[in-house]
Amino acid sequence: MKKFVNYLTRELQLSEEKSEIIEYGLFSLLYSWLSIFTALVLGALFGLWQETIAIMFMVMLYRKVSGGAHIGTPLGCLITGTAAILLLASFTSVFGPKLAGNLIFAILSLAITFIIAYIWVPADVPQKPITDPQQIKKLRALSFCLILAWGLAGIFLFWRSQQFAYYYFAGNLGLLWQSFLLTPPGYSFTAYLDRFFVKK
Amino acid sequence: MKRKLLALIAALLAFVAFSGAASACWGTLYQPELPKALRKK
Repeated sequence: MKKFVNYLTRELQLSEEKSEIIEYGLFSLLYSWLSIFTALVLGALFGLWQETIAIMFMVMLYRKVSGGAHIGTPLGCLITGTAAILLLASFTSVFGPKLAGNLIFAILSLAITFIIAYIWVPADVPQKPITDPQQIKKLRALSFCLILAWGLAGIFLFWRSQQFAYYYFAGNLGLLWQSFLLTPPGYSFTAYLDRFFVKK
Repeated sequence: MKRKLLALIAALLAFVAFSGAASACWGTLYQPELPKALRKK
């Protein structure tokens, strides 16, 4: 990857600053796709690809606007993120058929998500501090909009069919997992996992 | 032609980087160090 960035820098005679931006973009793109691809392939192997998509979609979308705790290495992230999503997908396949139509669970998970968002969004990390008041305001607004839109989608889907409710349940689990990563216990949890991946 | 293609790739990667910087994080559990040029003062 570094070689490709060096090649681009040389060919286009880019400054060091621009080269860093391009490297960040390339890493971001490749790494996101690798994470999605790994989770989808393993999800398909376990026969849970649809649940995996629903969970991953919600986690990644909400994470973009809310932030949250991180793992210190790309490999640690790949393993932990994929394991968490597959675990939630398995949970969906076991409990989804019973709990998917449960209105109390849906309302409760949205309420928890909203309260956590109100207190902790945006949750930043030292690698990417969020200090600009405008950006904080924007990310908070986007997070609340997303939760509201998800809630409205739920009202619509609940009256539609049980199958939609099943995937909505999966999405709710993704939302709860991401909400957990916004809280101090979520940060402690990833810091604990970091011990297995970050070499001292 | 080759130079134009490389410039296009570089522009797309810069766009990805800028849009990533505007969001709270990447969307995955790993967050690399944000380049200084992308940090808001």
